[in-house]
Amino acid sequence: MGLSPKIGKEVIECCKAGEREAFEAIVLHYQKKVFNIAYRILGNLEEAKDLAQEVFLSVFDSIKDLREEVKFDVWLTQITLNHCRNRWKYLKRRHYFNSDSLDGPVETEDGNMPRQISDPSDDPETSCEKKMVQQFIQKGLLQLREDQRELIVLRDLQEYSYEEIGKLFHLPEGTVKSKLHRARMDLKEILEKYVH
Amino acid sequence: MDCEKVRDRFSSFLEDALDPLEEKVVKEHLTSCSDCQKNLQQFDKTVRWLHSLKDVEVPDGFLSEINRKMEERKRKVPFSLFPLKLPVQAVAMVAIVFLVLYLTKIIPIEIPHQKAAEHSKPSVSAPLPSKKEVDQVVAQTEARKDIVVPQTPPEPSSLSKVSPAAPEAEEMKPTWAKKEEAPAAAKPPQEITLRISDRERTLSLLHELLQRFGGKIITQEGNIFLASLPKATFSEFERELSELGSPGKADKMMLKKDGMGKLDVPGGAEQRAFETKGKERVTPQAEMKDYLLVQILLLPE
Repeated sequence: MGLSPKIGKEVIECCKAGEREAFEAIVLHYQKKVFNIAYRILGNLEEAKDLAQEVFLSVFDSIKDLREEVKFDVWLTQITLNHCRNRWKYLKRRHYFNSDSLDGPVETEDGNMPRQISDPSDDPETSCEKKMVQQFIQKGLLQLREDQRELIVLRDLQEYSYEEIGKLFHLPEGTVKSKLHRARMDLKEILEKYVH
Repeated sequence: MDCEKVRDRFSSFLEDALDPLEEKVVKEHLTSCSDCQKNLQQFDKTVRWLHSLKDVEVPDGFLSEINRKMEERKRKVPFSLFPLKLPVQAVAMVAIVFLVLYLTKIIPIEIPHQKAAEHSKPSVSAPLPSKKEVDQVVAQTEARKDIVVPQTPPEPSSLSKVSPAAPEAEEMKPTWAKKEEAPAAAKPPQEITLRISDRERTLSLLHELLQRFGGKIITQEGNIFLASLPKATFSEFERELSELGSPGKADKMMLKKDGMGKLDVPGGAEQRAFETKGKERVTPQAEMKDYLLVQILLLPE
């Protein structure tokens, strides 16, 4: 998955055999990636945690059916994306994202703050500003189409290669590149309106 | 190269993925187009912002929570033991189909039963002589001996409805209901006049006799008694009743019998059946379980 080192084949085989220790090793190895993909796609820490745990439970249930020729990393990312898509639909039906406007106050660990975004590269040392920018970009991501958000999260945040993304989406690399470019341009336009 | 084509290459330009010729053309365009320059700056800033996003740390207890969830699921094993994982909708559909089949099978049976029950209700009340009618019978009997007690004929409509469904309805009713209905199916009263010398003794014997034959006194007006009695036991009852009269004066017991009474009464007793025009409409089923209304007139010597 991305640039993370692959987990040993023997661990996966032990997990297939139902060994809990092997399963826990897999969780510890991939939890950060799965959790962050979920968080960037859903934009909520609690939902991301719950979803990531569901992903690993699904892995434990179905790893015995994993064919050897399928790479575990690709398979795990596919499960994560499927869970994210289902959860996104579920939350959208319940109007979960309706209040997610870029005009609203920014949620930070220190409470809500009025939105005043400037270029983070101007003063990268201001931690508060960095947090606000992170929240701001996160909310911008949520305004993208679902497939565009997935592409940006995988490529720009999780540093997947175009080849890996192509395999996940069953698309040629060239198509992945052009789609990613379109997603970035759309995000730029979304953020541009709110940056001074 | 126009602005749109240049902007389409921004990602590749920033990733140094353009071939040298394309890169040269894009650079030339950018030096001459301030809009595309500005656009590229914004694009670059957006990508840098994205790259500046750091991974969020996994919440504490992430793994232990997974283990807890696994344990919870293990406790729910009885559900997951089901070998077939059927969708809820499919199960619900099958259940509905079975319910419909069950109902369509049940309802056609129940409807006739309900109809039978409805139809049998009027027949229960119709043949029963009301208190007023009984009084009328008694009064007229006192007034004259050779009377024809008027009895309201059962309503033709109710009678005609009885025949097809009555047996079924009868079978479904509880025993107490049958008991209640027994007098209802009774024929018009028989009239027996009995000459007696000891009224008290005769009365006690009469009660005893009725009890023995499964009958009972319905009303009493002076020396006139209206009793109900199973038809099957009537002949025997009548014979024994005649013996209650004054000793050796059995011949004194007068049984009046009109031409319509068909009872074959031994011992020379006269009887009269108070039959009405509606009699022929009474169904055979009703006759089978007949109770007789017997009017007993005690005449002190």
